[in-house]
Amino acid sequence: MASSSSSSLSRVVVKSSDNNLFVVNKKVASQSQLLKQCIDNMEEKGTNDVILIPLSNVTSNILTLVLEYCEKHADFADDDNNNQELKQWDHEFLKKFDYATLNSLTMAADYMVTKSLLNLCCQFIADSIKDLTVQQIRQIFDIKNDFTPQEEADIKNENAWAFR
Amino acid sequence: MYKILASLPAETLLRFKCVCKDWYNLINDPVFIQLHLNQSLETDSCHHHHRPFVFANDDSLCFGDDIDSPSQAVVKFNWRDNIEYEHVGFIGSSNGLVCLNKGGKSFIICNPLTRTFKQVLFSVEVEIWNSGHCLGLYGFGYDSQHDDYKVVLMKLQEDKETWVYSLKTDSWRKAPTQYQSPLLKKLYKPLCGCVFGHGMIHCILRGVDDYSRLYLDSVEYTYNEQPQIARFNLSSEEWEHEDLEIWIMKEYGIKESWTKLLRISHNGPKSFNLGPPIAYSRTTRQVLWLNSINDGHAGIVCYDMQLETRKAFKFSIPKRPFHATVNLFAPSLVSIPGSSHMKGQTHQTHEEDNAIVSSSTLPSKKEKKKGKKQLYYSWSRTS
Repeated sequence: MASSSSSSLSRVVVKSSDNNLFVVNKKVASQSQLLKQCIDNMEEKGTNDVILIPLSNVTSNILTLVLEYCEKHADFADDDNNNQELKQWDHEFLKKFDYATLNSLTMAADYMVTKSLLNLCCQFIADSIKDLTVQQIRQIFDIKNDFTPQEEADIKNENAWAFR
Repeated sequence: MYKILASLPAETLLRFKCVCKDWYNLINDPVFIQLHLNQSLETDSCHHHHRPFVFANDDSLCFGDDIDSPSQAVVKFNWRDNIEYEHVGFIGSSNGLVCLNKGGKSFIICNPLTRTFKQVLFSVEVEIWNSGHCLGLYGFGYDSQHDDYKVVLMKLQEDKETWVYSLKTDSWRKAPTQYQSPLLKKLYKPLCGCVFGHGMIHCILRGVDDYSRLYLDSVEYTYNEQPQIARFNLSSEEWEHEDLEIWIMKEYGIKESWTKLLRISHNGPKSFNLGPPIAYSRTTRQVLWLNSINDGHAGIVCYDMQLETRKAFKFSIPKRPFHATVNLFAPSLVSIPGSSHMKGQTHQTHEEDNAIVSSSTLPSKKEKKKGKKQLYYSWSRTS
């Protein structure tokens, strides 16, 4: 696979935590700063072999999604960021998932340093929970209420107007 | 999770404080508050959809959710603490904190969202004329170098002292040097207050004998409290003061970048009675004005430059509508050291009291004003 004429890589192989291999072309991989860093390092060393990047924190399911996102965004990489079509796609893309998936996706985006996906996920989750009640929040995120009833009432009182 | 919470609106975070102790501590953490602030400033600059405002006259203070639909949830504070009439003006707003000048004797820094405020006396009193013009220049802003909020007071009479108040240390310091401008000798009045930005105070002055000239002085007081004066004057021959014109400096600090944004002839069909401009949105191409107050009401006018239409919103703050003032702010959780809560009961108002009506070119908006809830708070000190 080594090419003798050029020292730049065209593809990398990414390995998920459950040991599945994904072949990713360089432009797509560059959407993730983590992968880009690996590629840049290898290119500096002058290696022409296809490199294998293991991602011990990301499962195949989630990695597929991250790569789907990266692929779409790589297509638009030369356009300006405010592309309406891309925004629409982003929204449709995230709409399909439940909280658990969104959560894993957010963590993977953080780990792989894909800032735009991370921001997108956080904003999307934030938008969808912002009008929920405290009770609903505890349910969704499986949080135990560790306040005494008096403490909780005090905090509510302090910000009474926010609970209208 | 940290980042998700930082993407939530500030108001939601106040509610989510009682989810659990971890969340409570996180939402109160200054580092988180700063992250949240940066996040919201970043997204706000892209969207501009949500434009909360604060409105004040000499006896009440009023916060609203959105200037485009101001009838939603207006919160009002009765803030008069004595009988004496006091002129109220905005000194400035920064990072969700709003600073108001009360009669040249004291100022108030408040966070409208967390309903906290702090009242501080001015180190020196500055005379305020009946006409509302005062002989002092004020500025309020964030000093990023010292992570502090500062109020600057420049006296324009007599000794021309300059004082800087630091919120962090809760103290006044006299600046070692005064603000000197050849203009001050024959100063009639500052045309506009001061605008804080880039670590500088900007004052717009107008000469007495040379009305067609506008002077914009930038005085750096925030960092080293030494006035460094830079002049970015606007002195266009085309300036016609009979007409209403708005100019913007497109590139900060570049004198040549002054551009005429808008011109409305006072005699033309589009003329309307306006106070000073409040804000300009580059994305929506709208200019906001304080509307003049002749029918016992104050309000704002939103002028859309593309469609050449204007929308007017009225605040019916009861009586004494002199010198009302309005400003925009970005909601944040920024806390004010040594502040107290604005206490009070909430109760609903009568429908006819409802603060805002819309008039002028978009009468259809009138339909929307009905039956929205209003909250009333009274302004009291607990400490």
